[in-house]
Amino acid sequence: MKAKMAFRAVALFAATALAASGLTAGALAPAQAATKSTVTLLSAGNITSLNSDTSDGNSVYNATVESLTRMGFSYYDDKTKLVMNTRFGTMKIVKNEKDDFRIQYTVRPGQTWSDGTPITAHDLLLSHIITSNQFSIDAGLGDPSSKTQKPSFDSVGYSSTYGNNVVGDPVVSSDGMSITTRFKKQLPDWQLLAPGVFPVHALALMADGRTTLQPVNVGVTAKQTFLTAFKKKNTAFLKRMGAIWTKDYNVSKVDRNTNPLLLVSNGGFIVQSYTAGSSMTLVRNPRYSSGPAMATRNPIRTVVIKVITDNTAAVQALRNGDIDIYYNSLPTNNDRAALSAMPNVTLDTNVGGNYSFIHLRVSNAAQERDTYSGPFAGNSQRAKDLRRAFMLAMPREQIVEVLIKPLNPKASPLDTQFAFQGTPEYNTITRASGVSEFTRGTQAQRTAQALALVQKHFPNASATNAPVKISFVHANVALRNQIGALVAAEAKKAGFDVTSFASANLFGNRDNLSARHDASMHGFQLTSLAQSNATGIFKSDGANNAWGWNNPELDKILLRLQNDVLTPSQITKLRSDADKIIMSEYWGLPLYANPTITAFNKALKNVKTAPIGNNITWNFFEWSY
Amino acid sequence: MFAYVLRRLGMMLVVIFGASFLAYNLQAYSSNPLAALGESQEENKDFLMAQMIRNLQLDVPPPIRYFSWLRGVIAGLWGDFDLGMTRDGLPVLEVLGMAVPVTIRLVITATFLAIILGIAVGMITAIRQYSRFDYVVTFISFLLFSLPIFWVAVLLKEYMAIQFNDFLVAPEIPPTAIGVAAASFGLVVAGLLGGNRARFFSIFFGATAFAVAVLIYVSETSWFLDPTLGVFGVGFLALCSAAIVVQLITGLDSRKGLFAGLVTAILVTILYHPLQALMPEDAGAMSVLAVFAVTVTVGVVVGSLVSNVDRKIYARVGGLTALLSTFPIILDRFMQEFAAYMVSDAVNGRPVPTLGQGNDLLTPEQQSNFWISGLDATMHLILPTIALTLVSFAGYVRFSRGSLLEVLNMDYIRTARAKGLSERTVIVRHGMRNAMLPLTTILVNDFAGVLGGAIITESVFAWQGMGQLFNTALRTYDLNLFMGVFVITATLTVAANFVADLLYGVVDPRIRIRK
Repeated sequence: MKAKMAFRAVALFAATALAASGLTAGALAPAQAATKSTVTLLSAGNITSLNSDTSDGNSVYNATVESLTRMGFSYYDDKTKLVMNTRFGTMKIVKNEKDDFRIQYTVRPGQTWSDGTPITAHDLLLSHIITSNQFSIDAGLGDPSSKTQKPSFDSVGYSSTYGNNVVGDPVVSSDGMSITTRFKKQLPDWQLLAPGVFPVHALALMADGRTTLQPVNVGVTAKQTFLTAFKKKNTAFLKRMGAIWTKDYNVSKVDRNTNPLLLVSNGGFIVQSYTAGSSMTLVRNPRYSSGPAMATRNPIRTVVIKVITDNTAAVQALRNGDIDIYYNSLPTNNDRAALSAMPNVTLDTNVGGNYSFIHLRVSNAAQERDTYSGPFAGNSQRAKDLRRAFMLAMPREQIVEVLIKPLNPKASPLDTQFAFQGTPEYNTITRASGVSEFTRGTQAQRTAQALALVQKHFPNASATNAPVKISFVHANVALRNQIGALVAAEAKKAGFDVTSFASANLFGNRDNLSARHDASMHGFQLTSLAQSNATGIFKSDGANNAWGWNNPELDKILLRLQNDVLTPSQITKLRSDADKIIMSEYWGLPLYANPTITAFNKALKNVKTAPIGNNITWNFFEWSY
Repeated sequence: MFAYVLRRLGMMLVVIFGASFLAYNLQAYSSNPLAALGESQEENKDFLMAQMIRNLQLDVPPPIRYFSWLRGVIAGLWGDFDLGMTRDGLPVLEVLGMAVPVTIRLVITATFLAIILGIAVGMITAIRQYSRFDYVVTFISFLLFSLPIFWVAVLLKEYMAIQFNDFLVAPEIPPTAIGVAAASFGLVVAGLLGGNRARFFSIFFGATAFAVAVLIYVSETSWFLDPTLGVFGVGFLALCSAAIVVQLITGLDSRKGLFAGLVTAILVTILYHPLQALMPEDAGAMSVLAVFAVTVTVGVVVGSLVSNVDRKIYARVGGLTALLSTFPIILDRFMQEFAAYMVSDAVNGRPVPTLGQGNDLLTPEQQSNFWISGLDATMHLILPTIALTLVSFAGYVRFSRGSLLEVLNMDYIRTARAKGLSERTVIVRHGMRNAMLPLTTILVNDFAGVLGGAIITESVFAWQGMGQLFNTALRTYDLNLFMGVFVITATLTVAANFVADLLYGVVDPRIRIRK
């Protein structure tokens, strides 16, 4: 019986043997074409949402995905220039009065979303809903600044320049291709306030419970439904949309069960699949026409974004070809050495919109518990002399030479916080600001001057005796600690006894920015090149003024930079005036622009790093193999 | 017994409650989610801070906030289990639900490999205590024991991924490399098999010669570009499996056992070609199971036909031999797709990845060829599995060696020897089984630890499992996510201790759980 079974089994498979060998032989055709058309990017953090404007999804990693799926009015290029994307639309001032400032935004006709629905001015209106506090209140969607209740659209855009200045709601033109927005005053950075684009028809369809892509006419009707709800402030409908906008775009997985309406795109690519914390795949959007045309020779058909939180792992992944583009805004010498030794990789050093500085405390900052009474306190001659001496003794050239040049051979000390090196504005400002006092001569000469200043108030000070006790706080990372050591060593020669506090959680711990410390070292990241940049740091009531600085004359200048519509030369003039005051108050000095490293597969062409905005993906349309 | 179980369960609840309260508050007080906004240059920074305070209820003191979190957990009693939302706005339960399978996939193979290899090698070293082999293994296991896994990972990536992929461009093995590799192989085999000096050297030279032959073949035929085992490879591995199984179950001197093993191995080898029909391109996991079902049936039938007495034992020999020798057949089937896998866009000629869970382009969703997507999943598992196995292997080696040595010094072993049992029977029946007893406790706890995830391993290999979630939760001050991971690991640890205690009472007759 059992022998029979065994025999039967053998016989059965012997009979199918021929068919089997035939099958296996035919199965070895290449999976895809021989020319590579996939670019694999690195995401140093988890992608959690397809909507980076919500309080949940507001991260640079989500914004990177959006930069591939949404094309709006402008983007920053690799020369930090704001490029107007006329393939998408244009904007112009239609009324320019002191209390009535109107801008018209026009969408170029003929563009469609990836589902075929035309792109129109309706798609610009969601931007208003998620940035105007007044609209949210008026439409019954909740007060965004409520302490207890989330608004329906839980966006990070409220209470900003747009929301604080917009008057009423934008008006849609009769042809439905432009909107006009009115502001209560002239706004200098109006170009940066351009509304973002969002597929409102998809949102409206989802609010109606749809879970599949719809024909174009249904999409167009949905746009009208949205416009009516927007104009009439239909609370119930808007609330449903808000719930979807706030929550449904948060994803841990994208697959064929995902509602395709969430994935509607007007960028170069459409999200196809995603597994949380692992990788996302985007495929080319066949209907892409909202930005510069894609490269024609060997363009990119697929973009994969791999989430790699470990930097060493990312470097090795580039070497192995697991990723094609590596980007690091906080590189170390080891990274650079490893990357430059790779045979198949192009290394590009740049500066990001990120710079480091040392600031000196003058008095207690807003909402401060303690009173500052250290050596730099107040504006007495003594305090000013000591601050000036400390600045003179800052070994900025040495810091750049020893610590930054290995990362960025082109680096030099940064002399102003109002402009980037290499721009004409930078030269104008630094020539006039009086920073030259801290760049003139050699460091030894400057340190000698510093010592002389200290000796005016502390006659016993000398290169071997440091009577002025300085408490210096900075983040506890290797680079900061090394800079801290250089600063302390040089300042000692000028009579300062510097104690460094390396804090693991610099901004998390209130005490770090309290009156306990005399000086602090930080980095600031610029997310745009607004005219009002850096005003928040130096204004007496600025959100980032943590050092108790206060100069009414400077406040006046900064207010003009914040509020007035100015010509570029006026801006430069005001900025150099401001910097002149800052230098004469001796509030501190910038150190250097933080270097960034981009390294990418040699076969890949036209990868350029933009210091501001989406550093790598801004010119995806130029990429090719 | 029942009362004991109830009491233990009650204590478990108290422990988990207390631990979670402590953990919640420690984490809440030690972190400040607002810190990241401190450096923000956004013009509406104040609004963003207020928004975060509102959304994360930062104005509620943590001890009180804990209870609003606990409410969601208790709601689980009536099926409304809720661990809250992560800071990214995703339900913690959903995130954990995705991470648990990933962690299991990552850690389970390595854990099993480490346990099986560790216990096997450990016991062999115990049997050959103070031999050359013992010293070498002891040295190596202490070396591995002291290696930090992130460093092991870096080395593995450099040599087994990057260099290996570079090597694949022209896969010719240089003669010196062949010599060194073959000699080390010879040393390992000779050390494993042991014996006097003459035997050692004959085995060493035999194994080395064999390895040289295989490596030359591999090099000359560019085997790595289109690897295959073929009938001969499968046959050879089947015979090896038969030898191991027979030696463990009946001993090689049992002619019937040897016969059952050899016939099964030969039959499985003959089945190699016909079985291919069961494994078409669009196959699923079911077809792999079907292949195993067929071969194991054949093995069991052969085994039970060998003898009329002790049928079960020979059936086991046949079945196990068939099981082990089917793995090469499955492996060979995967290898048949390797060339196609190599040229796919996602792989681009570099098959060993340094990180990741899998290529999105080759997941079962995108790719209908089961073998290619399976191959891709396997390639991504290779490095982390080796790393984890290497690091945890050593512990098991030391533990099982000590355990077996202790047992071998027992009186009953002397008695067993005295009554004339063969050395094999003494060790396998009386030694190894008893040596396994103390291992149960660590095994159970290790399996509970598996779900806690391998924090560093997941991070350096970019796997999004429980460890990575824990890491993220700490870095981003995500309290709900932190607590989600905590609840799972804490519950499992406490439960594993409980299970280990119960299990001990079952496997060791000397221990009885009293009321």
